[in-house]
Amino acid sequence: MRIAALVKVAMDPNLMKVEPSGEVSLRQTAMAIAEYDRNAVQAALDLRDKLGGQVAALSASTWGMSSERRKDYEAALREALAMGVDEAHMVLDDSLTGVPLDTARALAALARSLGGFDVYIASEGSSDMVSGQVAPMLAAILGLPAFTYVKRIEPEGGSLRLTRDLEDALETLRASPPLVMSVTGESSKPRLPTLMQIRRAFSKPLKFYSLADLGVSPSGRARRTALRALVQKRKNVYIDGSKPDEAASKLIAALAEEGVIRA
Amino acid sequence: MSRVVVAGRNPQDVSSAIGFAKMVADASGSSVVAVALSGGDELGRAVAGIASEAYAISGSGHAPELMLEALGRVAGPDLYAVVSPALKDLTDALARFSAGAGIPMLTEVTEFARGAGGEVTLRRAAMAGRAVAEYSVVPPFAATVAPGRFPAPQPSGTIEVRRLDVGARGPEVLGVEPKRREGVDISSADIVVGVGRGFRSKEDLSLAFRLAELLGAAVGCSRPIAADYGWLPEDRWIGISAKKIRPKLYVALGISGAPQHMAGAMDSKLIAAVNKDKNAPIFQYADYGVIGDLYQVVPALIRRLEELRR
Repeated sequence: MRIAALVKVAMDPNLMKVEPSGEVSLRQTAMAIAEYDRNAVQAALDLRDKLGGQVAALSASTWGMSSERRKDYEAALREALAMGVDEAHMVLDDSLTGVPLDTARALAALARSLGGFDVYIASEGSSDMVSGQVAPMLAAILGLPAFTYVKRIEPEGGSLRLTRDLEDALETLRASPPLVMSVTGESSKPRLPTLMQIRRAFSKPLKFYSLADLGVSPSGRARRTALRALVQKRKNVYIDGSKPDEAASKLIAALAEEGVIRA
Repeated sequence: MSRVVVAGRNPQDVSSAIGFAKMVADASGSSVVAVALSGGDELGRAVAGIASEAYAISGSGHAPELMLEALGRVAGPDLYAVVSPALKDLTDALARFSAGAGIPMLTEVTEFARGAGGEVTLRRAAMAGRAVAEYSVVPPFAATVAPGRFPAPQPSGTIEVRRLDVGARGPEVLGVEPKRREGVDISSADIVVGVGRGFRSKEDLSLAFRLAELLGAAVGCSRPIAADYGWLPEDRWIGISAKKIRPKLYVALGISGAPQHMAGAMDSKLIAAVNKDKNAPIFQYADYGVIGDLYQVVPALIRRLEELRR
């Protein structure tokens, strides 16, 4: 079985850096595989272990900086390779600005150029933007069925039994490849790579592509024009909790002073 | 006349996004078209006087595929926008529709403005609520909005609800298991006490419930507590893919402050946190941060409040 794990190289919101202009710094903010994309990778590996075959990581840049930050993009993809993915392919192009439609089109073109896959696994959303649309968009572009928010994947003969985790119910469906799915953070337990796996990752294939290489261009229908950091209005008052009763009195007094509790 | 289609699983969904649909329609001189998977007459009562057309989908199968087919039928050549509340089946259907039609989509849009050249500016939260992303978009476009974020106009008069037969659609559904609910609404509480992985067992959550009782607060939780351990039902889960809260005070106990959690708590007016790890991201977001063991600090808070309430 040919399996594709869709991996976003995302910016870490907890390590956000801001330019003097007030824009989020695309040059300095730390990047890594988006949190739940590790679940997508693990789900792909688990499926490969059960059914045999190969897993390719597919990625498309959304933050530009293709030359300045090429090393960071590469490091993130090496992490997917270290987790056990067999090969990695990334569309790295500054004309991709994180418009999900364009991201999905780039990924579809990349997948086609590699001959297509039986199962595509993305996560339910990325940690930096949480748009949550790339998997169903990819399905529509490739003309495949989509199964979103999948929590459980159970192979059953030639088909898959998938459980979707919705707001008010769990829904179980029968699905036959080829298909696209997005998985939730509970779908798998991502395993940390061993030192041996990390070393081996450096000899695995990792290829970069431009949109021109794939013969596609952005739709031109939308572009990201700004990413402004919000000024933190939080007071960041620290209270030493090593003397619990003192700390409790201080906190309660402060909250009463703010008028949010009665004391 | 161009059209703004508002989609929902039921009339309540449609109502929760029709405020945004109407705003976009008014700004662009479009009419509002409502489409729902269920609720014939009730849909009519919900959208009368706001929408100029209403469709109740009739068909059998799976919600996203039924909605996808219906959107294709009602969009028409003069589509200006497709909108829905940010719910899973609807986000799924809108994304597939958009990609198929080649139109851009943004989820959980918070602001809309029409530009001079016919393009529109859409904004949404990014970076776990620490930034705002702005996009310039050429209509038609698709968007989801947080349910109820844009107030709906009052319906008036009547409207004929037409049946839209889309036949059988989607994969074979093997089963549907409703989720356990307690019916608590943490999203409207004035004070919320949040519990995270700092708690070592389900029994220990009684500490948080006692504190909440003294504060008149509702108890919410982070992802692991609801989704991984199942210690609390999912209607108490605060986060980007769960409930969003906007209390006067959020007290985060043993919560590390993962971006997905904070995005659901960002609108809290004041945030207090108790965590023993002084490097936990939660302290970046906190107005008052107690660096200490919740197993000592929370009992002390309870003692102090009991004293004051006596």
